[in-house]
Formats: sequence, structure tokens, C-alpha cells
Amino acid sequence: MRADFKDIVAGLLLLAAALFFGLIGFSQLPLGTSFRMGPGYFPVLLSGLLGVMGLAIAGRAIGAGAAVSAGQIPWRGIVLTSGATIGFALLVPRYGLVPALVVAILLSAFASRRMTPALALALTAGLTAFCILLFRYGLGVPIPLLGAP
Amino acid sequence: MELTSHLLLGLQVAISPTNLLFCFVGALLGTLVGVLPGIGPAATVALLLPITFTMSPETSLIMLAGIYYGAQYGGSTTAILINLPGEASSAVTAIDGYQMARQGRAGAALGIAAIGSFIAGSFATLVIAWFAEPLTTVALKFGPAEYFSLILLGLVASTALAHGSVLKALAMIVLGMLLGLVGTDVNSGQLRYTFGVGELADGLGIVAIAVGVFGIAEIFRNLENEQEREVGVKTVSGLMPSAADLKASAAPIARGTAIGTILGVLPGGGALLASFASYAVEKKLAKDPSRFGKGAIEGVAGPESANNAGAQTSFIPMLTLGLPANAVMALMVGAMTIQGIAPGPSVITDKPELFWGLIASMWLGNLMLVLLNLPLIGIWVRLLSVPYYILFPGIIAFSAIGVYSVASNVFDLYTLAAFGLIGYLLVKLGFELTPLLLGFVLGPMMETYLRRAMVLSRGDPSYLVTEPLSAALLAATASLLCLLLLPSVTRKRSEVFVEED
Amino acid sequence: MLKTILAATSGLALAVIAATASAQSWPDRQIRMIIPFPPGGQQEVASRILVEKLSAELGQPIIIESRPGADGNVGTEAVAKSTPDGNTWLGSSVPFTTQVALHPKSLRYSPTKDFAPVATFGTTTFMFTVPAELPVKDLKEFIAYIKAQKGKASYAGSGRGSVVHLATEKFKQSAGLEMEMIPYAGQPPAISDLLAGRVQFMALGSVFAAPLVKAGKLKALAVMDTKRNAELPDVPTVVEAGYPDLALKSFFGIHVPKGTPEAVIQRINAAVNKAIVMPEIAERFAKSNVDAAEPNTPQQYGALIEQQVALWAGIVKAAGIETD
Repeated sequence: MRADFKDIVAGLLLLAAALFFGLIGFSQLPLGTSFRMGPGYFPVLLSGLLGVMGLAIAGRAIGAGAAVSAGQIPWRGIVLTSGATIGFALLVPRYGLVPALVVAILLSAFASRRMTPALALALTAGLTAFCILLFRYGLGVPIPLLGAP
Repeated sequence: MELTSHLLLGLQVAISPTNLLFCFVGALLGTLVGVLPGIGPAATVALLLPITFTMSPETSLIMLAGIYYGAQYGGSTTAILINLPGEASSAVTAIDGYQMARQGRAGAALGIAAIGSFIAGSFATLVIAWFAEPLTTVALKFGPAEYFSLILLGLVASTALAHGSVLKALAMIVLGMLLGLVGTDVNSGQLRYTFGVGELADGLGIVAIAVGVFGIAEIFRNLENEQEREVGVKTVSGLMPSAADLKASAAPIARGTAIGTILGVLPGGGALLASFASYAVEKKLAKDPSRFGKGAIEGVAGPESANNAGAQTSFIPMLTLGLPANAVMALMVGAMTIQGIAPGPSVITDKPELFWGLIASMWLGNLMLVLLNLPLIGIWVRLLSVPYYILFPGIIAFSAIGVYSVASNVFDLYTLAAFGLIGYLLVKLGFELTPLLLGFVLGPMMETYLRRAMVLSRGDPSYLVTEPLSAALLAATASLLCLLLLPSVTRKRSEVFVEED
Repeated sequence: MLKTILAATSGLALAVIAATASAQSWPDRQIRMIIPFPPGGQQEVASRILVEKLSAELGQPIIIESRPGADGNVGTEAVAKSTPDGNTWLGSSVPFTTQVALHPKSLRYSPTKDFAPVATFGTTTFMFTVPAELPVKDLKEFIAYIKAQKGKASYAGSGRGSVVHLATEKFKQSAGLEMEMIPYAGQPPAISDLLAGRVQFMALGSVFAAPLVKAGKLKALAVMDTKRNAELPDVPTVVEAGYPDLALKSFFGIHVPKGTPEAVIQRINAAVNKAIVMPEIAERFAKSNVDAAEPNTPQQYGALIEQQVALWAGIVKAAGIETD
């Protein structure tokens, strides 16, 4: 059978999101009445709508043309780039801007396979200095360079 | 003539050396923070507020206003160059602007954005001078029912932004709205979908989501085929828009200016809706709508003009009634009060030099911005010749600092990382992300207005259609929805628009 | 579990050591004053005027940080959790004292147990305002008008637990009125619906009300104070109108987390008291409709807070508007 698997996955994903928001909303938030709508009214309404849309997208995909392949997934890039942001998040409140920037730039630099160690170090030094000049001294962003605020 | 004498008074105030200098400082600073992802005009104005105490009221407001509209200019730059909209409204510019940049036409896109913004800004400034009072009355006609219907119309119209399936675009809007509801419910004070995470009480950060789904997800996409091809720009052809570009953009700039001028007056989302509405209109009117999303210059010219016109006219409710339309305006109201000026209808009569000086400075500021930005285009375009693998660690660093500087909130950085992944997943599944962002911004507003309307009508939904203006907006929404979802149209659309990249 | 306790105690010990060590040399670094509401408000404006003087007196920069969310609870909670070394202050105002009555179970701080009062520096008043077209001339006519509406009337509230919200609830109780609250996030967004007559009533901050009333776009029926407003001397006070209980002013003050060294509290208090008697401060406050407070001790401010907590708890209870 021909089917657009990409759209089936897409539809099911939306359905899952709809169930997530809908069930939590329905069970934990008061719905209220249409006069005094509770905090759950609108989210449950939207979840219902999203669920129907998800089903429609998945349903329409059955029998439709086959999807193109997903292509390569740049795992190394995804892991290192996300790691850079998370590393920045872990370091900046405790140790300040400089260590956080060094780690974030080094990690993301190696996300690309074209990067060489020497270039990465040069890039880290240059970008860190540039960011500090721009944000700390240029814009006066109140993040300490070293240490906690 | 009265208006002429008022404008002359304003010009006298605005071209005093101090005011001219701070107008330039504001515009320059605004451009800079607009270009940098994350750190936006609201944060900048908040940081600079204490400095303005020592200035005269005119100078201080002239500089703060300069930051605000300067940021609107700057926000489009990164949207075009690296698909990184600084603000929700430049997300629209990113659609076709970024594609133009990839085709080597970044100069043309940046140039037309600056020119369109200047024309729109100048026109909107004149409108403020002429029609501030009557337009205020229009703004007051918009109650909860009208806002609800306007936002609904805006959301449905925004599916025109999508170049794929309408249904998928609608689903992204709804998903965005749900994400926008995370946080504290204004009406009841109850927490929704926060799972005990204290930082979520204020909701997910808009900056973190915008930078995540556009900026970070784009990096992942560019890393996909690294071995085979050099990503980014092919050859750069011309730094300025060609005569043909200008000709194609003239009408969209005019229409965008008109749309932005009108919608900007409405507080809360007016200016944002304007850029979306303009894009939808241009795509509808285009002879060959399939070019949109692939680098159509009209898709940059219209929304950028609408955005800037809206940014200018959003000053109207503040200047005439003391009602701030957004966070930056609220800070400017604060700046006025610190200076001992009660914002409200009396400003125009009691402080004519402030009112008209500010208006005249807006025009001067727009002129400065275009003079500042046109030469900068060369530098920006050269930035694109930096190999991508050197460029993107910088994007990550800037995004992280920008997102963190908004509220010194580490959680926003985790949101950034998570939405980079979510954005990439959604793109892989053939979804588009602009409708998601639009739903995220407008969803909570829509809920607030709906609930307010329902309390006012004591739960009677017919209130939405018995108010004439609201009824007209709903009728327009319904006919648009029919048009979009009619099977024949859908089939034709998918034949024309399906494209894989 | 043991680990958590150990971590908590050692953390506490460190905090105490840090606090005592810093009491002598305080202030040795930049001070943050957190205002738990959106930027640009009246409280922020008054605080900025004040800290200019405090900063000169204490010899350290004081930055005002706006940390809005959940009717002020996000920022307030952040201060409650901060190190009690005198370097983090809370800008306290009426909502600080009302949230505990609105959320008796879910509120994660206590205004009296987790905070130490420092000083109050200013007060501000509110006015009963109605749309210009509403066919009423004074409070008495208004009450009759609303009663004739038989529950169809609405009023604008800004944030749960604000003076705007709770004072109107109190007014409804006193006058026996039926009005539905339409919630808004802050006063400015509510004003446009009030101007257009979609809501019939709002207890609006004088700073917003005065210019609109003078321009004839709103009518003021009463000032919620014991004395008339200097800008609108024709508007009677609530006392004159027969509702002395409604003379509910809002106050602005400073709190620090409990555990802040007494010496530090006294130094801030002295600096505040020195500033608020300056004629320049009174003048600049007046322009944004804030009255400078009389010099006061931390104990006096603490007593005011306790009195306010009890007052608002009574109003919340009578109105039956608790949320958990």
C-alpha cells in the first residue's frame, strides 16, 4: 500500500500533543462555564481541535504518494549544538559569562566536521572577546564576566 | 496653518543638537539590538531608563522612541541574513528574505526592507501628526469581541504564509496557541502546564522559542549535507535593489504602509498582525503566488513596510490617551512619569514641544536609519561570505547571551535548546514554523479577549455576532476559511506548492 | 533524604556566615531592588526617584529590576529565596499583603515570616471613575444606577489582589452592589474599555485618572482617601460620600529577606528616612501622584503590613474570592 509515512507520523505526533494538553487540561484544570470560563476551557477546546487536525493529516496520508526520505540527520551537530546551549546554561549563573562562552563556542565549533582544532581555539578566543566587548561593555548587559552575580 | 506651525515647532525641538544626537544614538542602538538575536528593544529601554533621568523629557523620549523603531529596522537584518528573526514580526520577513539571501540577493532584500521601512515610517509619522485624535476613537471601538474576531481573522489569514498544506499550517497555529497558554492564567491565577517548574509561571519565553525554532533549527538543517555542499549564499549579485526590484516593490510598499498604519493603532498585537496581513495580501494579489516562500521581493517589501508603519502608529494610543500598546511603550510612559509628565490627553496641549518634537524626531530618525542602513548592507552581505561553520558558533553564542539577558533566567536557555530540536523535528515532518510562532503570540491574547467578552455578555456567545464590527470580521474569517479549505482549491494548491528541500 | 538535609543545613550555615561577615562592610557591592510587576508602573517610577538618593547615601549603585508574573508572586518569591545579605530588596506594595488571603494554600512565601520590613516611603491614592457618558453625577446616583442594572454592570479589575480589584469588592459589599469583575493584566489595558463604556466602573490610580478626568473623558465620583486630591479638588473623598471604610490607599515600601542583619536593615531605613523628607523628593513624587511617607521605623512598617494583611483577608473572605 502506498502511504505518505511522513504525514502519518506528523498527524500522530499532533494527536499525541493534543492528548497531552487535553488530558492534563481536562483532569487538572477547572473548565468553568461559558460565562466564567475556567483556566481549562480554552486549552481543552484547542486540544480537541488539534486532535481532529492530527487525525485528518494522518488519515489523508494513507493512500497518498510515498514520502521523500528524511535525508541525513546531522546527529553530531545536533548533540554538540544543543550541548553548547545547555553547557552555557549550566555555567553562566555560577561561573559567569567567560567560562560559559568558551565552553559554548568550543562545543558548537566542533559541530561542523570542517572545523580544525587550531581554528576552533582561535574562533573561541576571538568570539569570546567580541561578545564581552559588545554585550558587557557596549550594551551594559548585567551578567558578570566571572563568578555569580 | 495650524499643522504646519505645529510641525515647525516640532522640527525646532528635534533638530537641536542634543536631540539630534540622542535621536541618532537611539536609532543606532536600536538597530544594534534589533540585529542581535534575543536582546530586544524592551530590555534595552529598561536598561537605559535610569540614564534618561538626567536628560530633558523631550530628549529622553526621542532617544527611547529611536531605540524602538531602530530595532524594527535591525530586526529584519538577521531575519534576512541567517533566518533569525529578532522579533515575532520579522518572522514574516524571514520567509522570503532568507530565501533571497540564499540566492545571493541579500543586498536587494536588505535594501528594499530599508527603503520600504523609510517610506512607511515617514507616511505613518504624517498620519500621527494629522489623524492622531480621530484614530484614537477608532481604537476605542475595539472591545474584547472585536479583538477576538480580528485575531481569529488574522490567524486564519496567516495560513496564506504557508507554502504547503493549509491543514498543517492551521495545526501549527493551534499547537502554538497551546504552547502560549503555558504559565499563569491571568483570570484565575492558576498555573497551567507548568509541572511544578517555577520558571514556567511566566510562560515559555517568546525570544527563546523564536530563536530556537528559527535560528537553531536552521543550523541543524545546514549541517545536514555539510560534506556535499557549502551552505549559504551562492554568488552575491548587486548590493542594491535593481530598477525591476523597485518597480515590483512599489505597490506592496504602499499597501503594506496602509495596512500597518491602520492596524498599528490597535494596542496589543496590532503591529504584529500588520506584517502577517500584508504578506497574506501580497500573496493573494500576486500573479504567480508560487514564488512566495522562494524569495519573492514583494514578500519582504510589504511586511517590512507594514511592520514599520505599525510600529509608528502604535504610538498613537500612548500619545493621545496614555495607553501603552506594548512593553516598550509602557516603559516610555514610565519615563514620562519620572520626568513629571502625566501621560494622557493633556500632553498634546500642555506640552506641545514634547508631542510635536517627538513626532518630528521620528521622521528624522527614520531618515537617519535609512542613511545608516544602506551603507551597512555592504558589511552585512560580506558577513555572509564567512564560511558557515565559522559563522554559526557565533550565532549560538549571541543567541545564548541574548536569551539569557532577557530575564537572567537559565530556564529560557533550556527552552532554547529544546525548541531547536522541536523546530527541527517539525520541519522534517513538513510543518512550517511561522504559523506556530504567530499562534504562540496571539493565542493567549485571543483567550483573554474571548473570556472577557464572555463575562461581559454573561456567557452569551451571540455577543460576538451582535456587535456589528465583530460580526463583519467573523464573516470575513468564515468566507476566507471556506475558500482555503474547499477541496478543489486545496488540490490545486498542493499541486502548485508541494516542494521538498 | 539525609543528603538533602545536609545540603540544606550547610547552605544555611554558609548563608549565616556570609551574612555576618558582610554586615560590617555592607554595602560592598551593587544592590538589586526587585519590583515584581511589569516595568513602567508607578511603583517603579517612585522607587527609581528614591534609589537615586539611597544610592548616593549608601555609596553603591542600586539597580531596579522588574520581575513581573503571577500578580507579583514570581518576583516576591525570588526575593524570599535570595541570600539575606542586604543586597537584594523587594519593592513591596499592597499586593504583597493580599496574596496570602487569595492563595492560602499555594502561596510559596509569607509576607510576615519570610520577609523583614525596612521602611515605607510613599503612598498613592485611587479614584472611583466611570465613563464620561454614564448618566450619573455622584456616587449616590451611581449606586442607584448600578442597582437598576440588576447585575448587568461590570467593573474593571487589574490583577487579582490589587487595590483596584479588592477595593471594588469592598465597595460592592458596603453598598450592596452587583457588578461582575472583568480581569485585566494591569491598569492601562483596562482603561480603554472603561473609556468606551464597556465596563461601568473602575477604582483607577489617580496618576492615570487625573489627566483623563481633566480632559472630560472620564468622570471621578470619589477619591479613596481621607483628603481631597490636589489635582482634582472638586472630587469628594469617600469619607465625605459616606464610605469611610473605603479610604484604602496603596503604599510603597522596601522589604528584605528574613535573616538580613539588623544593622543592615537599620542603615537602609535611615537612608530612606533621610531621603523622604527632602523637598526635592516630595516634589518629584507629587508629579507622579505619590505622597512621600512620614519617616518610620522597620517596626512601624511591619505593623502596617500586619494590619494590611488582616484588612485584606477580611475583604477576601467576605467576597468569597479565594482561589485555592
